[in-house]
Amino acid sequence: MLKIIIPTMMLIPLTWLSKPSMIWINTTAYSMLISLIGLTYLNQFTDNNLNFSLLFFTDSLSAPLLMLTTWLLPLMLMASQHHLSKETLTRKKLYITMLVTLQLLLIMTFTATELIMFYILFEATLMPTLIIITRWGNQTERLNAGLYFLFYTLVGSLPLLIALLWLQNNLGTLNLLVIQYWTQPLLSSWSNTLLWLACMMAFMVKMPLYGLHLWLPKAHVEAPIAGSMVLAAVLLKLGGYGMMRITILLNPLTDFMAYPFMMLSLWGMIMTSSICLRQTDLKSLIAYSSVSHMALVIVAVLIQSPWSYMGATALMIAHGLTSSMLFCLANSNYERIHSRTMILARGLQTLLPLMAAWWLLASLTNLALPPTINLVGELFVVMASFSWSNITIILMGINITITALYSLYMLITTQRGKYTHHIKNIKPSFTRENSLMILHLLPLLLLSLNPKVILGPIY
Amino acid sequence: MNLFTSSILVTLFMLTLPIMMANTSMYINKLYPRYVKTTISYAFMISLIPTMMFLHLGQDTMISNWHWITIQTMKLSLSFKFDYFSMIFVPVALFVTWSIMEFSIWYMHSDPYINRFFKYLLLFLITMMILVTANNMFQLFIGWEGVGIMSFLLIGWWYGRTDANTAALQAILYNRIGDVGFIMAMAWFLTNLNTWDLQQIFMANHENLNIPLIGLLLAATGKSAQFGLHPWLPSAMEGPTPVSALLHSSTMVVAGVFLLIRFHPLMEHNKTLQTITLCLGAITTLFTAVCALTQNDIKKIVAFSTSSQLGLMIVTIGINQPYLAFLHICTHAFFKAMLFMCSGSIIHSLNDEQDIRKMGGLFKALPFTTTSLIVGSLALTGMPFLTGFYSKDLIIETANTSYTNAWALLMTLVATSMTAAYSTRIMFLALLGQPRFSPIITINENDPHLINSIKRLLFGSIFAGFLISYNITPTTTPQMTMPHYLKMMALIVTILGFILALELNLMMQNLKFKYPSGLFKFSNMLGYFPTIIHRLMPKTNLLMGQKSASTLLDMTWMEKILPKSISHFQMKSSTAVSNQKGLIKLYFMSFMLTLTLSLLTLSFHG
Repeated sequence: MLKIIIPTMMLIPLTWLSKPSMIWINTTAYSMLISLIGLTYLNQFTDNNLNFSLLFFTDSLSAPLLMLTTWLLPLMLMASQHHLSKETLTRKKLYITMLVTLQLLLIMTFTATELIMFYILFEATLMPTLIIITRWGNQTERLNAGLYFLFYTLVGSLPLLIALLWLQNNLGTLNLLVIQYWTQPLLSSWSNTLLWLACMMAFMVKMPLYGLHLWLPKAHVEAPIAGSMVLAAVLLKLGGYGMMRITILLNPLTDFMAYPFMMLSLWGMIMTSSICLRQTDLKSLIAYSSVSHMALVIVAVLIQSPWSYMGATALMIAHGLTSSMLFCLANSNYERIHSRTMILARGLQTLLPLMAAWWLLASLTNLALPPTINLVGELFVVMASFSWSNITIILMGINITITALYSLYMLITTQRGKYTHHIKNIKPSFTRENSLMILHLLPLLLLSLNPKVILGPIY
Repeated sequence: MNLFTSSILVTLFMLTLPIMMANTSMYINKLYPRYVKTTISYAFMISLIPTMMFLHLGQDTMISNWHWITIQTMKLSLSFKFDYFSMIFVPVALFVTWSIMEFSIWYMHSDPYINRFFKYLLLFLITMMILVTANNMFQLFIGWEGVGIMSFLLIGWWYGRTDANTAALQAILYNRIGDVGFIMAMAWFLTNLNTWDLQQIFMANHENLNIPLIGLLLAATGKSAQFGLHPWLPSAMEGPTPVSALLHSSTMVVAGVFLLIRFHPLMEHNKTLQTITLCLGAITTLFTAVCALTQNDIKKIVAFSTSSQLGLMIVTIGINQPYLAFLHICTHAFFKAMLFMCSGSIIHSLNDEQDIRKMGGLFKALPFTTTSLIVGSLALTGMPFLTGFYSKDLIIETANTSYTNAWALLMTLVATSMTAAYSTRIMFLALLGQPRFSPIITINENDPHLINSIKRLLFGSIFAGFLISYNITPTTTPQMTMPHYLKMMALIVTILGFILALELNLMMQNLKFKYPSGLFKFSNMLGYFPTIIHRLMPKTNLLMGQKSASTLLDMTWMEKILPKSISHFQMKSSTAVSNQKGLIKLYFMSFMLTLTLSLLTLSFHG
């Protein structure tokens, strides 16, 4: 494990000691090299875990997420270059340091063996994210967004701390590898219900569950590009990951407790999709589409069947890459138009044809075109929920239809139609941006060839 | 092991070559469209080899190539099914596409992105091939969705036009509703039969297949533009004419019918679903024929006639004759593609004029197009011994002699008669009489690309039906004996339609109707369907999205209940509880008083 952690730590001195012209290149190249180390963990040749030490392990659930985290850092660095071009050198370095710290914490969160350690790191990721949002966001609303972000997640996760302490007292350990053998069935009683809620709410807020999702659109919209990317791609997945890890403690109560949350998610995914249909703000649209996709993951995790777990893991990875790519595209529009309003960026296909191709592919993956992994994920979730209850297919069907609609609405509004006059003299798309999009798409396409690496431990 | 699988795989592989070449300098070349066209013609020739072998030996083949993934007990692999349906369909589709590609070289020659257009057409064809040869539902779904997405790109080809974008989005929306049905069927098969392989699904012996069959019917309704989900097909005429010819005549829209034919083994014992299918088809064929009667846009008329023929195919499936429906798919492809190409030729010659009221007298100016259009229309109406006759006449006869729903049968017969009526109308208004178009027009149909492509389909429209029905063995025994009046029924209603339409058109020239009647309005306004469904539904949905989802729930309730109310109560309670009221003067005053007092007491103490 140290072979990832120490290089990641060494990124910080690399940033501070690099020549001013080299800070971006050095860090990007180096972090890309680090992500290559993570590739080896994708090959989980046995059903067991890869134990690195007493503190860290990885299995086929966390390995894809770990890979996603390490893969995303170079992409974030590439995406932020323009955003920071007017800042002073020290601030640039500070920004990179924040991103690196976040990555470091995320890597350790995904591989932590102890639940308490997981909890501490889970909370620690809030700090760099908060700094990125509130310091480098574009508008003054960023402070409000930061406040929402911090309070929602903290209020959700404090009960988890208490629950974990109680569990430690009861079970004698919080080691993830051990508790699956030691756990007692959680019978239905008031205190157990509270325990269930305490354990799950932290992750539900993080996912976010419909009703508790208010922080997400705000944080996504106000965050700088790297913040949006990492929020959508990795931080939301912490919720899904945590839920999948902790549900082993909570059986069989989940079967009973799942109903209200399931209803909320099924209802919420349609609601958030319909909100997407009416968005004028590009980033807000993408943020709400994240909520709608994450609702599918919540449904899948709560159903707790093998197919649903596979679907949830695949969907998390697929959505991580897709939404991050959409945010990058939105940002490249923003850097040219200087506005997030979609109607100001019409008809871009005429001016930036290659960018239009990326838009098309990103929209298609977002609406789950077969045979991408987005489809694999969504299809499995739909299958699982259909076998859970046949009626859910109606809600899922409505959601599938609306998802296709708003993805293509986004595509048509920004790319098709006549271009407006004020965008006549925009910059062409840079190689940096094009390669950024390719680096998002490539894993999506390659994983479609062999989706079993991201189907999680039950596969 | 023989040449069968290898030659069919060569056919499929060849089609991908121009796509791969798109990264090389060949793609920048002006000759790229011709490469594509030639590739398809070669693919057609090669595909004849396995088809001949199939006709000779009659063996179904299934190959399984690449193992994709095994999930628990379900294996998913790349596998192809070369049976009766795919082996006959592949050469037909390739032949039609070959002509359409050649036609597009002529039609799109001034488009700056003609190479990309050809690439899209070819990609579309490939997805269609995937669809027809797929052996498991996942692969079928890849083709199914791929066809939908490529149709989005092709219909919205002129992306600067709002109408084209709307039509493209509309196509995707209606298709997506159908996809939900497909996904439902997939989910049902997975949960109950634990397989997506076609053979295993057909082997399964399940009591109640209503749910998956309804799902498949919904999928077919979306893709094949059946009543309820039909408006996208006429709207899709916003795309370039070659796109209409390829997508909306012979390939994409028949995919839904093809799906039902594929899954027919499940349907043949389910009477409920057959009745629903029959009624759906009958309504579609009648409704769209009614709509076609009063349209003035030449492409819209052809589009509605496609829809009507699709309804007829669904009717055929409803009377439990999938092989006949399939025969109709194959024969229909030839003359319908040709009708679209003829209308494309007319439109191009008249400077993008699509209104048949502004045509007329074209038989002098465009003799070849006129000939083809008339042959195509006659084939469409089922004129004996043209291509359409071999399938359409059989369908009507079989429907007549079967114990079927008399109402649905009557609807179908009326629709058949209307086919003749609107065909007459096109011929009468566009081709005969006096010219009504503006005189300064460069009419020219003497381009070899145009002539050759239409000529090829013209031969197809005359002979293909005979060739196909002569060569394939009838799989269900057709009813050989029937009373004279039933035998002649199809012909009689068609001739009746012809005569009526001729009379009406002649009358229209001399008399002017005062006010359009209610029936005319119903037909001309497409049964008020777009007005109701395209206004009311999206408006309600969008309004709900805005008002209830976004404003009421998200911005008001949730924000009020959680963050706003908490901060509000915190503020209120803190001001209420704290004894600091911000009275700075008073505080300082009391501070000073205390200070002076204490100083005084201290100083006087000593």
